[in-house]
Amino acid sequence: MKIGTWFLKITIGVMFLMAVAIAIIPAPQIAIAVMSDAPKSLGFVGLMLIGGLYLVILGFLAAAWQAERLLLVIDRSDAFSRRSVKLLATIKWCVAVMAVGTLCWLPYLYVLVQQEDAPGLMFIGLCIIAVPIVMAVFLDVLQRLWAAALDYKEETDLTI
Amino acid sequence: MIEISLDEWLVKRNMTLTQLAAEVGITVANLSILKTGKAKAVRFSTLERICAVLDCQPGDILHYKAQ
Repeated sequence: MKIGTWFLKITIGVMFLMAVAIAIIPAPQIAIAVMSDAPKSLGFVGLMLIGGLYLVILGFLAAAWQAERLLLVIDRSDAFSRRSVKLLATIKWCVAVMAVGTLCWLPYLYVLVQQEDAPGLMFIGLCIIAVPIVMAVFLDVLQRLWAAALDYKEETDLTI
Repeated sequence: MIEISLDEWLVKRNMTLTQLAAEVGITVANLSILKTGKAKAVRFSTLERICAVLDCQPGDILHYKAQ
């Protein structure tokens, strides 16, 4: 296996473990803090934040796992195959799940901005929410490009 | 669709697929793709060499069949 691939695999592995650690240690603490602080009328907003947080973590774990598989496929010199396009599409949908998860943070963010009277916080929050959406869009572009390159390769391969 | 009747001409010329591949200068695998109709395109240069080896015209080996 190439050194570059090893580096990427280790990086993804470390990020995977960090996401698992976040899901086990700080996330439940955040959940308890949010639910105990929130008034009853805002309970749903707190639940959306927690649900969104776990959705982001789950989406990330799935995306990291698929990225590891994609790296394995690339390392076997099988990058231009239907399998890699399918894996890329799966990663895109995992990131889309992350985007939905971050969108679930919006109501809590709004309440927080209202309480703290800090509109700048909304801007920062919106920037964070935009990240997975932008990633999903670019992944879709990449997937289409990859599929087009694969079609071209197949046609060239079948030209005798 | 376009059909390729290589088998018929191989029998006529008393040749095997391997012999044809060697004389045309392409691999047996590629010739097999051509023979089974999986090929998406044929280069003029390949067609020219096949016709030269089999001593035939392109129309003898390529046929159009309505689907």
